[in-house]
Amino acid sequence: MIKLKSKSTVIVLVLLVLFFLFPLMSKQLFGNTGNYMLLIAFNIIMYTAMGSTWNIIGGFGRQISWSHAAFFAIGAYSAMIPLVRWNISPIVGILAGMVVAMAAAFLIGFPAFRLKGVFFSLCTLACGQIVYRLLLHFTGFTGGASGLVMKKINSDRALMLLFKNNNVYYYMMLLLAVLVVAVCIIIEKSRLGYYLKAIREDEVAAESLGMRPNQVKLCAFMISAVLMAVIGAIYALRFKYLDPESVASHDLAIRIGMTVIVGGIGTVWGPLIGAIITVPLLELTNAYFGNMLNGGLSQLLYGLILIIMVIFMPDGVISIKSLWQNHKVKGGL
Amino acid sequence: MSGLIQVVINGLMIGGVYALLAVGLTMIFGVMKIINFAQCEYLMLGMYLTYCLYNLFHMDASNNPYIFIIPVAVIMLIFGIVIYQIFIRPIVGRDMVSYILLTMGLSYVLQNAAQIIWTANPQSIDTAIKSKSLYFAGLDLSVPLAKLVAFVLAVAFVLMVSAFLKNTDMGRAMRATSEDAQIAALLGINTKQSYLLAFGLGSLFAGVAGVLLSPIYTVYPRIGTLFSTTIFAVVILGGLGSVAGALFGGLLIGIVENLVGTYLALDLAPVGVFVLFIFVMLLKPNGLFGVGGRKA
Amino acid sequence: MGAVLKIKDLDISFGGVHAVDHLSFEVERGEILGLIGPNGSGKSTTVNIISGLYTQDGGEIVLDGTDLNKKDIADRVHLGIGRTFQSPKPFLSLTVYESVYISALLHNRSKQVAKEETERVLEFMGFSKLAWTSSSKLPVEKRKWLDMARLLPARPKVIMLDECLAGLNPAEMNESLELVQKINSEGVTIVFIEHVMAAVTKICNRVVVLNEGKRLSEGPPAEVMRQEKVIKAYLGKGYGDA
Repeated sequence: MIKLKSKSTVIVLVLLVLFFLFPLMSKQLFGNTGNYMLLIAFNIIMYTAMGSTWNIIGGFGRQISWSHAAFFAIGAYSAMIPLVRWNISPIVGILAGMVVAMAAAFLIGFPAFRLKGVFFSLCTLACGQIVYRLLLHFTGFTGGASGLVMKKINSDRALMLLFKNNNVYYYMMLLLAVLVVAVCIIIEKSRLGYYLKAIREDEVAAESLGMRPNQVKLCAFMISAVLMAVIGAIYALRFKYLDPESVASHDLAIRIGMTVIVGGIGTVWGPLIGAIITVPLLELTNAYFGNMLNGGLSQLLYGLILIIMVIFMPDGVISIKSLWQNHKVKGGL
Repeated sequence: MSGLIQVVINGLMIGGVYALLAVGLTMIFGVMKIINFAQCEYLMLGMYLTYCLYNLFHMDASNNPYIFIIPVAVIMLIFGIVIYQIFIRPIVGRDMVSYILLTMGLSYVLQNAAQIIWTANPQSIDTAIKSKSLYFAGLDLSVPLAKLVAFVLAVAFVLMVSAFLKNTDMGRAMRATSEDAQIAALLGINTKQSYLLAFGLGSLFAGVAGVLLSPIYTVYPRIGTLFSTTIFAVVILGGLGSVAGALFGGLLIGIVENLVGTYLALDLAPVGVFVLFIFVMLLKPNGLFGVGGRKA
Repeated sequence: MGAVLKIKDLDISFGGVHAVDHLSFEVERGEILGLIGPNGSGKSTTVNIISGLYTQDGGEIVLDGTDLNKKDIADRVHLGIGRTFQSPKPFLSLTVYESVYISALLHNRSKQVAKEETERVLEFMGFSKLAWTSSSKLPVEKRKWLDMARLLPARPKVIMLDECLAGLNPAEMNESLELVQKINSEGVTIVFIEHVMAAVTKICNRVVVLNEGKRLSEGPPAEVMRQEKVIKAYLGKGYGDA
């Protein structure tokens, strides 16, 4: 048991060092495509962070939420709108976004958690869609379908969190991802983590011991939403462009959950594994097959991978070791 | 006042089609206890099939697509059965998350397969029905003929399904499986066959809905997403597993959607639907026609 | 000693079925009360109502002077009600320790106290060796005992055990009964729903017999079970007339 723990700790530390050094080495390693590789690395880190926040409620508690893109969008827009419209620092925007996301999580969770299982998921799907539509509708505020754009900046303005070099945002996202994963590790061993696991295993039994499952779920949901909002804000500042389609869409909502499920739902490292696998995979299929066959092939493969994962590896890639052992025990290869 | 009647009638018309789509979904849930996230992709395929058949037989503006209802129905039934055998059967008995993810993956696959085959460009069929309307002078009401036909045929189908479930052996077997699959199996009912049939029929209904919608909407690979969240709302609001619920829910949501879209804002119409959905969920978690439990 | 739990005029119907029909009885503090009756007589429903899972149509439940009306399940647990279910409900992916620990956390602010409480309960119930076994690996009788153990950190006043002997062999039944008596000796009142009459006779001070949702009879087990109306209820009208 202990041996395995330190093995995975070592791997994670090595990965962390690699991610840390990557921006410094990408030009040497990849030359002209260095920037593209950095973008992929950024996305891997970002999806690790996003997946980890989702995992708090979706993994530990097994409450599959399809509304997390909405929280991401809330964070992104909360940082951008004050900056673009009134020249207010995104630091304020991020804090505002956290508050709004927490409120949104409460508003969504309050009705949604009265429903169980797939009904809960569908309610979150509907709520996510509401946020998407609202973002599209109030064009005066959010820029509607055309979204918000930030002009290119000429010099760093640290207090406004605007930097010329995108590597700054890379490190911000890396720090954020480390923080989020740390939060997950803490939660897993905490009171909240235990309560979530009990709810996941048998909610009726948990309640009969004196737990109030809805309160617990709501708490996890709100924590998850607040963290997601911060990720969204950093995303917005890095890309300096937002529209409802890129930050609040149904596709994104699914992708967040899928990243965790592919890696290993309910495990601390599942999101990381899932991000490392799905982000480059999607990029590769887009790069190679993006233009073939009317542009449908890459997403088709994405769907097929999901199907294959569900049928053959429902506990995610992280369970690959135990699956292999089971296979061997059953005798015959 | 006449404006209001027009809006309500318009909503009712599309509501009929929602009901037909919802019936397939609710039947699949009732019998198999799974939510088929790819249901509206079957709608999309039904529309594309209609389009292909239309062109294959060199139809033009003087024809209408309704003659293809039976061929499309048969093709979609077979298709649904094939999909069941390949993708769904391996995960029967697993947890809900598996079903959700699998059918979501399936919807992506179908959307993109359609894009590969027919490209992302919207296609439509050329039929005179598109431009015809019935005008009721007394009520100052104008009803597009295509929408009226869709409504009538959709509701007729839903009533047929209801009769099928009540009066045929296969239908009764499906209802028994839906109530309690274990006991049904013990009583000698072939539950696997019920699952197969439910899935096939669900595909069939969505395909037929596609034929009915082909004079009204242009088809493109992602058209399913336009309807899917709404249809889920219909099914849950009506009560999962209830055909009456699907019918009533479909009509209700069609009307509400149109009311919100007309009097509030067009792009907020789905928001109105979802707010209604959430509201009903809080009051009656099992849906309007669902069977509830006695909880504190 | 006084009554710790008073049920007054409890009434509930489901659809057309009048499951519990103006039921009244009292549970004396510190006793082991048997709640018996044929299948469908309303025993489990009564337990569900007392624990808060169902809301009654009419009637009162008073625990140690406190009216439980409108209190949710969690409140009732904190006030001192505990119950097990007919089929064990383990937290499958959690260990025995973690299962009890969760209950301890729910009733103690300090994690340290919760840990100590967990160890005390595990020791008391004889689970010390199995503390780190996954619940999924436990055989059925140990799952039932774990369900009981989970209730203890809440320091309940009344525990309702719903057919906790079902599916056990005689040796396991004896061990279970010993555990029940051990818990009772700590001052916990037990309401014991059972069909195994030998067990009821062995450990219950009194029994209340339910039939068709109504209270049929009450008294010491041996005496009550000799009553003709009770025998008739169990065997059906045909026997009495035969």
